[in-house]
Amino acid sequence: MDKIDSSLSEQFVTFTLAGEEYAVDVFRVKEVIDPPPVTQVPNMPDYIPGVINLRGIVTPVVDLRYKLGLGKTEQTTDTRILIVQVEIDGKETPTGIIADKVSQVTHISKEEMKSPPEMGTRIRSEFLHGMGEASEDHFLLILDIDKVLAADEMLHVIEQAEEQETTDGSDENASGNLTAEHDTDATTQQE
Amino acid sequence: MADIEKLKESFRLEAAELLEEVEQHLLDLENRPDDKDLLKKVYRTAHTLKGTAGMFAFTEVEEFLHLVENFLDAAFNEELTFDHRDISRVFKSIDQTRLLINDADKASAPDEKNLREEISGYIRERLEQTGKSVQAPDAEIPNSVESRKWQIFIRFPASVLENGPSPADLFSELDELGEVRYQLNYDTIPDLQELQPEKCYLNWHITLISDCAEQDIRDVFLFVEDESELTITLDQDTPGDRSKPASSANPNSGNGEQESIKMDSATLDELLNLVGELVINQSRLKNLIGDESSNEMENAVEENERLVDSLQTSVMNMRMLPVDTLALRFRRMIRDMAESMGKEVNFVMQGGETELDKSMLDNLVDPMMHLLRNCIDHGIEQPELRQSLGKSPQGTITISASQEGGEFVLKLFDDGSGIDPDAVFTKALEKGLVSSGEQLTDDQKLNLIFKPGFSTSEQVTNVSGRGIGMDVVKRAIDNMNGNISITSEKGKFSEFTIRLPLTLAITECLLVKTGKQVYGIPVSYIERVQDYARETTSFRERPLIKYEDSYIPFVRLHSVFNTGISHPPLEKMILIRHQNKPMGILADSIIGNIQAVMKPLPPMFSEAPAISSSTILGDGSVGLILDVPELGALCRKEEEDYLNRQKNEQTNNSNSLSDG
Repeated sequence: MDKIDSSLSEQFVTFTLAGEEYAVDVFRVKEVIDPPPVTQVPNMPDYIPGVINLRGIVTPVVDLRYKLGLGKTEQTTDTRILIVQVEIDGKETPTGIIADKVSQVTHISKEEMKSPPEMGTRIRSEFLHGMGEASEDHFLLILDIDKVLAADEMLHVIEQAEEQETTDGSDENASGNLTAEHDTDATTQQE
Repeated sequence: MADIEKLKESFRLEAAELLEEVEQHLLDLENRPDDKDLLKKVYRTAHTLKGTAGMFAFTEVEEFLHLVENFLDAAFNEELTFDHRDISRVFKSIDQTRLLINDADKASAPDEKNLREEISGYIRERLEQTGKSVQAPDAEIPNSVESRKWQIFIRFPASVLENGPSPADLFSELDELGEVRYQLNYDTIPDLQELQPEKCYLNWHITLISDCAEQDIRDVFLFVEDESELTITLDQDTPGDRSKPASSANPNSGNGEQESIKMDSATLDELLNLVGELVINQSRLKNLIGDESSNEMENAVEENERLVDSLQTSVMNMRMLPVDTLALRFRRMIRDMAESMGKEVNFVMQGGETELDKSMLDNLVDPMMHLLRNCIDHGIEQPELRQSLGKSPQGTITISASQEGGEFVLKLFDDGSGIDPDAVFTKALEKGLVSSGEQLTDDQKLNLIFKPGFSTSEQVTNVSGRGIGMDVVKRAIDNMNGNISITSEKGKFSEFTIRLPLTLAITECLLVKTGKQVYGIPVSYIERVQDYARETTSFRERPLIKYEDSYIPFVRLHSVFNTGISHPPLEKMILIRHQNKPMGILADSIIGNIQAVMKPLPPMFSEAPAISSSTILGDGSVGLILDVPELGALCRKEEEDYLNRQKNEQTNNSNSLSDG
């Protein structure tokens, strides 16, 4: 229990990424919006599809699913963007994270929270605040959103290959993802 | 309570202005210590400030300034002569006063308190030397508020004696306003036969010397004003401040001064934001009405566009401030720095009237301060050394501002020791910022100091010292879409040049399309736009295109942004001028012009190459603005790479020839 951040509230917004349920502290989520058109910023890592216009504020959008190594997000009617406040370079910056589906706000008391397991989850435990039991046999992974977004690289899945099958059949090369085509290794056509 | 806070806030604003005024005069005074007028101005401003501070219950400020005032008074009455140290103390008192007013918490810190005590002690001692009592009352200083001379003409209605109020009462009220002289005109008294003793036939010319406002005079005549003939004019021959413009003939025009109001700069920012949104919405509206609009609708939207345009221009103009507003801070800093290092520096400001957007001026302060500090610390030599080098012992720092095309240019020149390009290069090599094989011109070598990682604070040698934090300065300038460069001659001078767009907030941009993406290019860079068909490239391998009679380098946005899509056969070439050299940008097509409200990109995109900022397009989506200087640099680099390749090929060829 000592690993659980005492500043967390007990209310969480839950959302789905690649079939698994995740949660973020409700006080970090400013709003949940339908995905507006995303403007791609060239030469950025693939997990940053680009920027959106959030009522006049140019806001970055992160494909969290891709960043966590769960394959690129495919946009469906359920796709939502959670606007969370994160501190970047000492400045509070709103950032959008794409979720396959936003479910609900749920209560998890501090007592019910468990330390993140060292093994067996798809993402490294250092990016988790802990786990909560939503119902029987049904766990929520509580994301440490600051750490997840601050990490520059892709967050690799632990032992992904052997025990996890890609839940919904999408892989990194899935077409129809949120971004415009963005093949960094595409050949240039300059003569 | 809230009201008192509001009043205090307005006092702070006023005090900030007065303090600046004092500072300005003091700086002048330091150069012309015998100028009694200046001393008087310093005194008066300090006196006004003291008075207002008392009114707003800033007791400590009042007491402190009282002492300073005595000090100034003594100097004015020639009981003592201000020397360098005295003026320094007055400068410090100004700083302390500012602190006391603005940040009471910080001002009560022991360090600050000690400093104030030190200053007070010093001043008391100096005053005692003059034999003058420290408690000297602040003798009526003439004209602490400027008096003006008013000319008033009044003809009461004939019935005034019956209906009142009595003119005599009104005149005694007027007497209270200041010094009054009456001139009675009785030439309008009718013949005796017609004269009705209960009527008033008289009129008066009144001269009033007072510091009151016109309204105060009008108030005296309030009850008779409607029926009377009353004119009030401000006499040109004012005994007080002669610089004030005289009132015009129109009695309602106040005292003829251009009225100004103070506005919180946050309000101004908010206003600009709103105008920005309005501009965006306007282009959206224009998009929406499209073809199916009625004539009337179209007219209305066009009219709206015109209005929004002028609104935008007015707001932008409101935000423009002359560079002179910074000069005071620079001067003060140079003075203090030079003094603390025992150097002599003469500061020259040129083109101070050049205007720049307020937010950009604010953003310029830190980088400029940094550059100035460097100049004095490492550039200007000690007076003895300068003399032995055959230079004048006093160093000169010149800041010149000007407008060149669509750019604001600020140059910082010092005639100090300059920078050795080879030393910079060696250091850059050590740090692995360049490879030893690179052939660079002296200017290119010098500009390596702006590279991140060039200097760290660990070793402060003469050369590295000059580079400290230069990457920070560069980043600050980059953030304003500007660029900075340096030229120098060792032992003679160094000169930094900062180029900035005139306004940060709204820029006219040309929208171009590349693949599916839309980019904006600030029109201030663009010389012309023309079709470009691939076939016209004559040097197939060399990245140059023919333009008029010459070949110019170019970049194709498709390749810069790795779109992975091939470009259409007929492209558009946007000809831009970067550092006075033409270059081309190739895009698929042109969409049109927009007034782009610049929005900074979130910090995680600071590394995104060739993108400087973003804007909201007419359809509500985000558009990206190209970083033209960076594209220019890219262009040049490609050309250089090409030339190097060619050189290598040639050497290879000749090698193989000699082998064969």
